[in-house]
Amino acid sequence: MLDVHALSVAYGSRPVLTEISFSLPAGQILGVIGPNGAGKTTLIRALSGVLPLTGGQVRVGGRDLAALKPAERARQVAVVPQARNLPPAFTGWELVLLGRTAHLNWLGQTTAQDNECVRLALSRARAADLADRRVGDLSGGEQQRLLLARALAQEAPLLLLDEPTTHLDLQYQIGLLDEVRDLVQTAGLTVVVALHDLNMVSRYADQVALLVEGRLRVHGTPAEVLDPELLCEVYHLPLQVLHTAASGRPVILPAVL
Amino acid sequence: MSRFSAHPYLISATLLGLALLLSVAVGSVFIPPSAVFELAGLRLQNLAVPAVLQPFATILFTLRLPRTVLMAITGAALAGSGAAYQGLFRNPLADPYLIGVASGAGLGAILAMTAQWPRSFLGLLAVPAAAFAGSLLTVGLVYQMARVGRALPATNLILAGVAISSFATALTSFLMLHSSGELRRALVWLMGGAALSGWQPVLAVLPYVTLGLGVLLTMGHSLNVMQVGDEQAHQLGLPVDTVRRWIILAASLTTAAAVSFAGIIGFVGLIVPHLVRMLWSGDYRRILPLSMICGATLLLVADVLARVVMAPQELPVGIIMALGGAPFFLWVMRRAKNQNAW
Repeated sequence: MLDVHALSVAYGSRPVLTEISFSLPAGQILGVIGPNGAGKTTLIRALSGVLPLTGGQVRVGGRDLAALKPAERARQVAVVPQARNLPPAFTGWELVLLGRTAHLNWLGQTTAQDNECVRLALSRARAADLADRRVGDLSGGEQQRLLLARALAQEAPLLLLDEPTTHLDLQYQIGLLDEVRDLVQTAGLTVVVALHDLNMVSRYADQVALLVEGRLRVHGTPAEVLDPELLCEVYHLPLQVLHTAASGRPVILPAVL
Repeated sequence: MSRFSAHPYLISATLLGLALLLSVAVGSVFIPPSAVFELAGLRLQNLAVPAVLQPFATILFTLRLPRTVLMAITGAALAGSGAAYQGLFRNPLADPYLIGVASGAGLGAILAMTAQWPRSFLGLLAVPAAAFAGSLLTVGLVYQMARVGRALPATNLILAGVAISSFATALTSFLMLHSSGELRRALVWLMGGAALSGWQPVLAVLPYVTLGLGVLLTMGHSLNVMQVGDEQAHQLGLPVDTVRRWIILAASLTTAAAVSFAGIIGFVGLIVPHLVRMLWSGDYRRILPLSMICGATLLLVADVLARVVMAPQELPVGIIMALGGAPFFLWVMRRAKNQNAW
């Protein structure tokens, strides 16, 4: 589904991502982790096609992302950005309708199908009650749900999320990521999600990519990547990894000294 | 609030109808609305006008009506392009006047006027063409001067607009003083008085404004998308650079056409989209058409005031708009500072 080959990105002369390669089969969740400045957000931006690559290639469904027109690209890849600076005067419905941009004709007219799609996306993101509210009056968590709905309205098979749980309380973090996992199972989406929280990665990801200083250090299953020695080295902090959960997914804690 | 906000098109169209009626009725000679309707009915059925109504008919069809139509078109043009600039720059203070586009268009128009082309139809075309060039040049210059990376801070936009606008205005004044001929006519024009009269300017301005506003009306959804910023707009599939170019071209063409024939009239493009957004919607698919309707209404009312406040003398409508618009601008500025609510 997603094939990344020798992807490199530089801001000016400073390399930010160097020779990143991995593949992600359809229907899986890839969690991207790494210390601040490792290049998580840049990787999400590069995969969304808005950054010029200094090298390498991103293929989605076998098609080179760089060769696609904006609308074609947006029908392949949808992004859930962090909720910041959203237009406050928009209603929830109007914000989610923006997700249909790549499906509209040149006059920007919306059809009954577009409206149905927005309605479905709102209900899937559990944001149906936000349709008539002003975006400026909503909490960060509510705005984040609208942004998820907007990405779903794009009807793209690949969904990218950039630290979607930042600023959310724990129950909303779990709620949002539960929803994403359900969508992967019911709608067959493929997901790349950048996350700070290693336990969220452990809980939701099928694969984990650990970025360190712009390079892909390890790519594997959560059990492989969430290794105490590796994490200690990367995060410069003694960490404990517990294997007590019934799910078999590890739990990561700062070590008690 | 809720009852007023329920039927935006019905309400704004009704107000426009009233303003049109007011504008053809009021002036040095008052034409009662009943006479207006009667004359309109006779004209539509191609019937002869009775002798008693003949003076009214002359005033109505050769003076009031063309002026009213010109003012309505100008108001729609300025408010429509103002809404488009505000959406494009994601800035509630972007107005063709404040960001200098109107002054740039004015300079272009004056250049063409003082070139002393014959006042044939070709001469009428040269003025808007030069105004269009002037407005494009100004908007490009202001944008380049004001931007910081990809962002366009409000203060930079206004400061660059004011600076470049002053520069263009100074050149305009110089050109006017330098050219001995039709100084007073040009001066009145510059202050936003319809110096030209009759149907000729209406026919000349109509194609430009129709084209420009027509293009802008197709840009409602794109402007909505641009409100989330360039990067997200790209990710949503909008060809951002192409769309931006079209909007600048269309809004500048519309502004230039309005300036060429009605002079520099400020604040319409600021006040109207702001009120529309406050009363009805943040959705540009509605802001654009509603701004055009309400812009026509506002300028008609201002023009009526211009005719009556110092009657029998007439003020340029630009003066009326500035007297009312400047306080409104300050209020918007205070409000934007106090609450992040536009």
